Amino acid sequence: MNDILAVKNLSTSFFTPAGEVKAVRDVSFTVGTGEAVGIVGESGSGKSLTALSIINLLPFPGKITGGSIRFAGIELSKLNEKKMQLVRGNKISMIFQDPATSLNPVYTVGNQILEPLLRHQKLTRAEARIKAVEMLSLSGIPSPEKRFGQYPHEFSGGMCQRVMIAMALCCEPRLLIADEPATALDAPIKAQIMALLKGQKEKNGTSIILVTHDLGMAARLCDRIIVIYAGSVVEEGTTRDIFYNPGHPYTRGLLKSIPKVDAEQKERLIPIEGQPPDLLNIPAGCPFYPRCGHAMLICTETRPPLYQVGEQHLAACWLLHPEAPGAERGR
Amino acid sequence: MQAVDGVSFHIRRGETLGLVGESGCGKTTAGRTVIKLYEPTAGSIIFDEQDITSLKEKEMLSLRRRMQIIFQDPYASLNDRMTVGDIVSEPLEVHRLARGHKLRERAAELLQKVGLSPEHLNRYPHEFSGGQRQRIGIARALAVNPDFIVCDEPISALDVSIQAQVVNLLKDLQQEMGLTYLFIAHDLPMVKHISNRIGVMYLGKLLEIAESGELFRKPLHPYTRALLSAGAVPDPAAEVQNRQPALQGDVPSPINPPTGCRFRTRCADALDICSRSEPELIRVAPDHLIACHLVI
Repeated sequence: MNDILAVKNLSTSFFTPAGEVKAVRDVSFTVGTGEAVGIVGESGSGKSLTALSIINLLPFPGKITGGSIRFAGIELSKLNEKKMQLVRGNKISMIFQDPATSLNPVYTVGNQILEPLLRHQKLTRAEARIKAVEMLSLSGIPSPEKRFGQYPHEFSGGMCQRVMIAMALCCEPRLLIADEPATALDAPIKAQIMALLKGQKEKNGTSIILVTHDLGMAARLCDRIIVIYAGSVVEEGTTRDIFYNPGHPYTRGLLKSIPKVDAEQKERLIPIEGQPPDLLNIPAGCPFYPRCGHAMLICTETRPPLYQVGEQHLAACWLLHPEAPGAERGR
Repeated sequence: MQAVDGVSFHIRRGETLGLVGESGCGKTTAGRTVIKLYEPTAGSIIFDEQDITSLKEKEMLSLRRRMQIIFQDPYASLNDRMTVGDIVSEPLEVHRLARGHKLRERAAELLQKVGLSPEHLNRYPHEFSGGQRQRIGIARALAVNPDFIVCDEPISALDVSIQAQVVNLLKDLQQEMGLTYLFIAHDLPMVKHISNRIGVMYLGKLLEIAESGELFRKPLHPYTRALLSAGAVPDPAAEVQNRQPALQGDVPSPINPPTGCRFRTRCADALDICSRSEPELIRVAPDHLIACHLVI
């Protein structure tokens, strides 16, 4: 499989009056053609910022401070804004978390879908309109002709999200970045959105990056998953690797804290105690050690490298060092 | 517009009734009406054998000591201009349960009960994370030693690992204090984990209500089944089976709900009778009721 995207040692910081917040620290991963990769983590983990860094949509005062982002042979981090705009909405598209606030409230939905079409494709306005209505229909919006002339406030949350997907897909991008695309929506609508994205991947070979904290969604949609904690990649592998053989204590902790539908009710959930670190003052060593039941001295001093756990499976944990005490390993 | 239409259920002392459904189904309205934050337009509410339906605010005041609520949004439900100490002691003051340094002592006790510390008394809500703010909301609800707490989506806005912390806390408190909960949520696995029984609502109607394990093992209503299969589980092998979303389209507008059974417009098995007459909630097993023409 060819890689459509290769992110290497990406670092992004926010230069605030209080100091430099290292939100994304040395993150590397690849996305293959027609592959769905999940970036999984909790609030403040840096997963959204990693995605925004790819297409340089970082809010002020964020800046990429290092690393490379290669997309279809082009180095994205070196593109100026003018060249980047030719990529956004065209070769790489993004859909955001809160559809109601991500759409422009003063323009009709139709107008908003026309924008990328007219910008990136050599179509007349009439041709673009036909394509836009078609996209609305493909995204599951009934009465697309009528909806074309309506405003975002006339749509429900789920419909707004479908409009955003229509906008994102209209120029047939090779890579779609979905940042928590269904978190704010009910389960049935979530399922529809996921089916839409999955269909896109399977029929058109569109690669997808799904940024989410919802492990169920990641399990349903993704081929591979990257787990991010405090701005660093702590584990990566195929979806089955991550769910059935998690190598990092954080991943294991996350999986143990979710109720299983077929479990006995009496079984207690095992939460991860404590909270994520303050990114302004990340402790030295492994960012997870304060919450880790297996922390050793070295964990407090040096960041662990990524160790091979399986064929495509890596985890950054000192417990995986060949000389680590065996007794600590295991669930 | 009827947000809640002819909904009947009971909650036994010490148990947790879960109430689930999509946005707009009326579950939050039902929860708030039960403790009379909204006035019911019809029907009755019986709390501990007392009919509280027509009680006026003044008469409700002493009863409110026994029924409390925890809200969904930890960022909106705490007054930003009050210290945590003030927020948690306010109910005690309103019900004249403590004063002066006794008040402060009790506030400190409450914070400790929810896993926070007395030094937090003088801080303001913005200094806390979502999970911590939710704990403050819980401490506030516990202040007056209530019998019954409506938990209105108390964990939806929290991260996965924090959800587990808060749910464990709620369960421990229930054990310790003999509390009764009405747990409103949309995350089915979590609702199953904390509830003894679960009611499923749709467009203001109660469609099915059963013991939790039973509802998951033998969901009878087409809507319940669809809701269960829509939920994505963190299990790739199970997810591979999930091809077509069971529920298409959106929930119809509550202003103009479908005639007969409100779910019929999205029901794959809808019959003729479903558009003509609304099914009644009938008992099909000792602890299992369902409103559906298909299940006769």
